[in-house]
Formats: sequence, structure tokens, C-alpha cells
Amino acid sequence: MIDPHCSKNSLPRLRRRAGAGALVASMALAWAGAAVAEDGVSANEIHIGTSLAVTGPIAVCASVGDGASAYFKHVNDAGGVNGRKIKFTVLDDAYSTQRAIGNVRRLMSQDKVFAIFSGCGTATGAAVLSVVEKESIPYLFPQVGLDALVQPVKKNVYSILPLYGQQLAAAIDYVAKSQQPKTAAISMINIAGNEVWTAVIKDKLKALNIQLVDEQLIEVTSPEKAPFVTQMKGKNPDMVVMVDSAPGAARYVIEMQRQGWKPKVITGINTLTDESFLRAAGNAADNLVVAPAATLPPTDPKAKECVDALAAYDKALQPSGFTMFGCLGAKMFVDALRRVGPEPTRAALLAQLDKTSGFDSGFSGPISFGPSVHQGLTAMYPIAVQGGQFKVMGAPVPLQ
Amino acid sequence: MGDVPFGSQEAGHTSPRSRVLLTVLVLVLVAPLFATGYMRYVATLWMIYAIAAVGLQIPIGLAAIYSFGHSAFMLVGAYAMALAIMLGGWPVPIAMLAALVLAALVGALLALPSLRLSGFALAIVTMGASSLFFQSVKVFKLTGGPQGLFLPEFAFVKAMDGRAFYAICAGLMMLGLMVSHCVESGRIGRVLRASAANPLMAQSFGVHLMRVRTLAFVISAVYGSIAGSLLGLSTSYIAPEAYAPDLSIQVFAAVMIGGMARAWGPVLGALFIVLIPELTQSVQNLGAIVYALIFIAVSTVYPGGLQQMISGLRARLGKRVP
Amino acid sequence: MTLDILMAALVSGIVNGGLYALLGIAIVLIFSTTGVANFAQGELATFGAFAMFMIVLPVGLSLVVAWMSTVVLLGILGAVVYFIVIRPRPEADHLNLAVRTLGLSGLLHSIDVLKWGPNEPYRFPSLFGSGSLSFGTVVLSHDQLGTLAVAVAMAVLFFAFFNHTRPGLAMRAVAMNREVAALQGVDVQRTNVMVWVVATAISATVGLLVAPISFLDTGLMQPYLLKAFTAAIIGGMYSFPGVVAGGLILGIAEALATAAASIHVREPLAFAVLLLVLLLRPAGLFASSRLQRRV
Repeated sequence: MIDPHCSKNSLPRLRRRAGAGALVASMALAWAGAAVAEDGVSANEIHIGTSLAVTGPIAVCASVGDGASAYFKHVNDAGGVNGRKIKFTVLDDAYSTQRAIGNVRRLMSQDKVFAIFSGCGTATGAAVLSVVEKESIPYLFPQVGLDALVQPVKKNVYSILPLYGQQLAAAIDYVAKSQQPKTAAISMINIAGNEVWTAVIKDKLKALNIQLVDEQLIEVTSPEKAPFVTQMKGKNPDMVVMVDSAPGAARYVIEMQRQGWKPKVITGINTLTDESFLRAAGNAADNLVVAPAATLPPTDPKAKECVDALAAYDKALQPSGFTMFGCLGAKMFVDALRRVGPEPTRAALLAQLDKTSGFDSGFSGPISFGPSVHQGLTAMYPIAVQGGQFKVMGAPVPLQ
Repeated sequence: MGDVPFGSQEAGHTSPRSRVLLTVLVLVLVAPLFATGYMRYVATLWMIYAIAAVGLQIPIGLAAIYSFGHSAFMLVGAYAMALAIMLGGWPVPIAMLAALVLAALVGALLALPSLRLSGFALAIVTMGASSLFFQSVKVFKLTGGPQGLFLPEFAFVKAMDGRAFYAICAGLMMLGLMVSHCVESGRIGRVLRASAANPLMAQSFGVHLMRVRTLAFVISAVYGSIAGSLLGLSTSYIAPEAYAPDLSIQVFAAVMIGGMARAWGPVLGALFIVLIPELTQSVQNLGAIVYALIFIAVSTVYPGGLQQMISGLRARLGKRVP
Repeated sequence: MTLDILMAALVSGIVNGGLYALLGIAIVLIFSTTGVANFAQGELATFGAFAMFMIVLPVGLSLVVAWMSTVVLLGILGAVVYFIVIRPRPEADHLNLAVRTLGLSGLLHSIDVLKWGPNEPYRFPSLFGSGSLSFGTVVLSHDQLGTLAVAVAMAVLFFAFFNHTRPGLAMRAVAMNREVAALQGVDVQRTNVMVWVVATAISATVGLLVAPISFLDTGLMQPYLLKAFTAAIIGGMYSFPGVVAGGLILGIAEALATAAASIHVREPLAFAVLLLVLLLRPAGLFASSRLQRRV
């Protein structure tokens, strides 16, 4: 059925040959003139960058970048690190993996940054990881609950957000001690890694002799929690272990309120201790939620450094768990950078990071890294929701 | 290409006008080889989207079949190739071929209801199919679930700082353009146009409607699959979100904004949809608004797209070939 | 699956189905009279919810008045949309018109994200309070009851308008045969504008009903659009009772299947229903033999 006139013979051979020849010749020329890579370090500046969701479905992520930027400004105003100011470029990916990859490539190849610092969002975090793990550029402290970040350990990737499995084990331990639940249910979001977390939860419950009465897998895109709550209500567990995003968990808790049932306690991961959860859930979470947090809430006096820095950076911004986390990462980075000395290189930074031992930020548990330990935060605060606020229940609980 | 009627090429000589066009084209295609790695990456994306858009032009422009299922073909292209490579250890070209065959099958399947349904209903079905494929790959562990698949990085993708891969994509795009041009101006094109204009009459002239529509879908599926495979290779990470139903609408926008009348219209449209997010990086949402406004403007007032605007401009500047 | 899970699923299915049906009514209204498949129907609803939350409520009106003002405002927006997006180049074919609405959908969405994206999701006030009623093991939240009540009221109001008023009669005439209606003296232009006003107002209502149940965010109505179109297609695209039945069927089938199997069957089921109807009864489940118009 192909028109015989359209066979290759009818196109002028000159056209095709010219095109092919030009392509090959220019490739050779261009390859010869390829540029050599640089560091992102100049005489008075260290340029770092990240991709995170400033807009889009998880726009709360913008706060992580804000918290870090605020701390960097605070440090820059005091003279910078070893005479250099830190320039932090935040590119928006609106939670699109395609954009995240594009942003990271741009930061590496066009802006030539020293390191990819911070970030937020699981899917985009995975995308960024897929690019940086094949490179030598450091990828530091993203707000990403992805086990693959540090499992297996990658030379240039460091995290200060405990793996969800770690968080859950510690949280269940803590809650079991204080509330002694007899039965429990799991509400798990269907994202990458969820089977591992479910397994950790089940093991913990078994070890503590708590009976598992219900197990639910929730789709990211299903806002409707009614059938899930109804099902759980029927089983009436004492404790619910909830692994979901902050809005998702808030919806669940509100639905519980609507159906007039709640368990004795709800625990989960650090998404439950972020202000966005509090804002969305309102009073439905009062005296119900006890969950781990990486940092102290901004209302705590020891968080003053970060809160003040944020206010100095932009008075309109509201401090939250996310801004605190950004601040923590920034503080850790600055400390490692100071230890590197006056001639920073990527290799030197990685070496110093690996030597970090018991770094105390003042508003988080201690951070330690090692050549085979790239998740550095070793303890998390137990936080409860009381009177519409987050309340720290005690000293940081060590993770296993 | 351009306004030069196809017949004048047969004698084997080129008009001055098409020589100029050719030079411009070669320059544009060659430029990214000299740019930074990132700009080359963007140009590679342009080539990939161009392949997808040129493929979508065939059912939409010729057969008036509004297919919103293109993301499904691209998804199959990416995932099938990835699975063939990771599970079967197949070399990349063979894996892409296998994905292509699978996508063609899907295309044929989508064509099945096309006789019983009006244009609008078929459009809805293709939308549903996109959504179905997208949701399905997120469910099964085989396809990596919500996280997707991490591909090993291939030497030819990284070679010469991305120049080799760019050349491959550009080459495939040119090939795709030529094939599309052949289809468009050949018998298949005539048959497709006839089936769109007046199905009953076409049938009475011996056109087998079912076969023709299946062909349109299958051809677009092949293009989509190749584009999807290349997209997966370019990032070595296949995320389900990158192949969501939204992608169908983006490629559709590329075809529409670029213009459906000429083979190179979709290439221009693809450039447009790749550039807008880049140029508006710092004000991302403003970019989306500009993009949507142009989409509405083009579909409302300038149905021929950028291609029509450019051709019109040239005509008014008196460069029409007599 | 126990009885109360079944009942809960049924209730949830009816409420959802009612919402699909209401949105579907707006779609069928526009499609049958102006011939446009309005892909922006969902985003118009989302925009309505945002408009109420961000623009109307801060003015300080009571919730009910704010509701009604928003619906009216959105009706006006519908007319604006008609004049800017639909009216130009009326000789374009219907698929082109549908494509324009696709662009409009993108525009509305990006405006939502630009202005209100960063702090989402928002907790939307409910007209109905947060309690619930129990009938034995069946629990009906006030939200669900209220939503259903408003949806039904809206539908009844619409049918009354459509079947028993002069403007409604004009719409029916245009829907049946535009040329003949024009010959009979119906101002087709004015009828078209009215159609868009009413349909957009209805969509706004759906948005205001959905927002308290899910949180208000920029993706509020995205899951609803294709489902509403499916409901409309089940009804044959030209039938109002058909779309209502279609919506309820889809909503209940979805809820039951989800409860019986898993949440994952939701999408495939909706698609399967769509395909089945289109392949077996393309004129819709309820098309009479007289009016076998193809969708």
C-alpha cells in the first residue's frame, strides 16, 4: 500500500547525504570542544541547588526550601562559611518527576552546583536519586521517605530523615509502653516500599503481643476514606498505625469524627507531626495522635534559632515542621562545610560528613554518619496533639 | 516540505526555496550538539515529543480520529522495553522493537470499537484507555508499582555528553517525518482522508474502513511507542506519572498548536510544549497559564496552528511558489 | 463482606452516583443543546468551590447566602465562557469545540494552582454539620444526607425549569432541532447563553457539595469528570433521566465492587462499564427505538 513515489529513490540523494554529512561532521567538532566539569565553588561563593515542589499537589514542600534558605541567610549575614557565602537555588518541579529530572540536570550541567541539597516529595526524590546516584555530586538531606536513598548506601547520598520503618518501630514501642493497646490496625498508603513498612509494623506488633485486627491499603488518589473508616470501626482496634501523607491522614481522622468513632491512639510517621496535618485535621486529632518528629516543633523555645532566622528571611512565612527540617539540614551542611576548611571539594565534604559524630543541632536528636551509615538522625521526638497544638512528650527516643 | 508541492522533488532537483529550508533545518538540528549538556537534554526531549506528535498527527490530521490514548502507547513503549531489558536481558533495539509490536497490538485493539462509535465516543474511550493503563502500572509490582522502574544507564545515552543519544533521537525524528510525509501524500493518506470525510462513500469505493482505521491507530501507536521508549532511556527512570493521561493531552496540544496540515507542524508544536516550561522556570504557574491561553487561542481562532501562521506569513511576504 | 459494610458502600455509592448524575446533567444540557462536549465541566466546579472559599466567604456573608452567591457568580462565568470560547468561529466542528473546552479546563486549573495552590488542601465549611444519624447498623453522616438532598433538589428544580418553563421549552426545542427551532422564532443565541449559565451553575453546586467531603484542593473534581461523562454516555448523551440513572448505576457499581474486591478495581470498572455501554448500546441504555441517535 505504500506509494511507490515515496520510496527513498525519489528524495534527492543530495539532500539526504548533505544532512547526514553535516550531522556527523558537527558531532565530531562538538565532541572535540566539549567543556570540562567544574565545582560550584568560587572565590566568595558556594553554589548549591535543589528541585522540590514549590507549587502543585504537595506545595507544602516549599517550606523545606524556605527553612533552609532562611538559615543560609542567617549564616551568610554572619560572614558565611570560611569566607564564602552560600547561594541556594531552588527549582520548582511541581511534583512532576519529568521536571525534577530536568531541574537536576540543569543544576548539574548548566548552573554547575557544588551539591544537590535538600528536596521534598517521594516520587520526585526517587527521580532525583536516579540521576545523582550515577554521578559524583553530593545529594544531601532531602525530605524524602524513600528507603532506596540509603539502602544500599551510596557514596554521595546522605539522609537525615529516618526511614519510615525505623520511625514506625520506635513509635509503636513508645505508644505501646504508654497506652498499652491490646489490638491494632494498619492504614498504609500504597507507595513504593509499603510492603517493607507493613512487615516492620507486623513484626513489632507481634513482639509486643498486640493483636492485628485490620489491615488497609490506601490509594494515593482516593480522597474518600469513608469505606476504610467504616471497616476499621467494625474491628474497633485500640491503636491505629497510619502511614499516609499529612492531608490523607487528616482526611482519615476527620472521617472518624464524622462517623463518631475513634481508637485510643493513632501513631505513624513524621507526616502526622507536621503543621499541615494539624491545620487540616483541626480538632479531630486532639488527644488522639502521638507520632515521631525529626525536629522540635517551632513553638518550642529551643527552636528559636530557626524560627528567628525564618522571620528575618521573610516575615510572611509560617514556621512548621518542614521549615524546621530545612533548617536542620542547612545547619548540618554548614557544620560539615566548616570542618572541610578553606578549600572545599566534593570529596572533602563527603569525607567530613562520614566523620560526623553526635552532631547536636539543639532542636533535634544527635546526628552521626559513617562510611556505611548514611542515614544520620538516630533519635526522634515523641509528639502528641493536645489542644490543637503539638506538645513534646519527652526526650528524643532512640531509633533501632 | 513547506509549500512546495511534493511532485517537484521527483525529478531529482531541488528548488532554491527548499534548499534554504533544508539549511535552516540542518542548522537547527545540529545546534544542540554545540550547546551545554542541559540544553542538549531539552533538545532531546523536543525530538522525542516531536516523534510522538508526528505520530499523533496521522489519526487526528488525516482520519479525524481524536485519539487521547497516545500516552498509553508511550507508556507501553517505555514499560515494555524496560521489562524486556531488565527481565529478558534483551539488547535495547530488540527491546524497543518488542515494545513497538505490543503497542501496535494495543493500537489495533483500540481501533476495534471505532466503527461503532462516533468521534466523540471514541475520544472518550481513548481517554479511558489512557487512564486505565496509567492506573494499572501503578498497581502491579512487575511494573514497579507507584515508584516505577529504574533502568540501568546505557553507554550510548551518556556517550559524548549526550550527543550520540541526541543524534539518534534527531535521526529517528527525521525518519519519522519522512515516513509521515509518505503516508500523508500517498495512498494511505488519501484513503484515511476519504474515510474521514465521507465514510459511506469511501466504503462504496472499496475502502475497508476497519482496516484503514486500524492502520491509523497502529501507525500512531508505533510512533508513540518509540517516543515512549526513548523518553524512558533519556532519563533511565520510568515513572508512572510521566505517562499519565495528561501526556496524551500534551502531545495533542503539540499537534494542534503546531498545526495539522503539514508534516512539520507537530515538530514545531513539540518545540513549543517543551520550551514553555523551560522559559518560565521561575514562574512555573504563569507558564502553565500562558500555555493554556495559547491552546485556547489556537483552537478557537487559529485552527491551523503555528504552521498555518507561519505559512500565512510567508504567503503574505510574497514568497509563494507560482 | 458484612451487611453494614454493604450498606455503607451502598450509601456512599448513591451519594457519589448522585454527584456524577448532577454533573452529568450539566454535561448533557450543554451537549444536547449546543453540541459541545464540555471537558471543562469539572474544573468549572472546582473553580466555583475556590471562588466561594477565597472570594465570597471572606466578605462575611452567611454560609447559605455565600453558597447562592457563588452559584450565581459561576452562572455568569458560564455566560462569559460561552462568549469567549464557544461563540467565535461557530462553523467549527464539534470536536474542535470540545478541544477548546479542554484548553479552558487547563486554564482554570493553572489559575487555581497559581492563586491557591501553595497552601492546599483547605478545610471547606459544610452546610450540614459533622454529626450523623444511625438507622440500626447503617450510619448516614449529615454530610451525605445533605449532599443527597441538595443534589436531588437541584435536579428536581432543573427538571421543573426544563420541562415547564418557556426558557426550558426553548432549550428543548434547540436540543431537538436547532434549525427548526430558529425557524419557529426561538432566539438560539440567547438560549445557548442560558444553557451555559444554567449548566455552569449546576456544576458550581456540585463543586460546593464535593468540597466539604474531600478537602478543597486543585484536583478536587478531577476524578469526577470522566465518571460524569460515563454517566451521560450511559444515558445516551441526550437524556436527562438517562444520565441520572447512569450516574447512580455507576456510583453504586463502583462502591460495591470496591467494597467487595479492592480499591484498585475502581478505575477498570468505570472503564469497563463505559466500554460495555458504548459497544452494546451506543445510543445509551435507555434510548427508545424512536430516537436512535448515535452518541
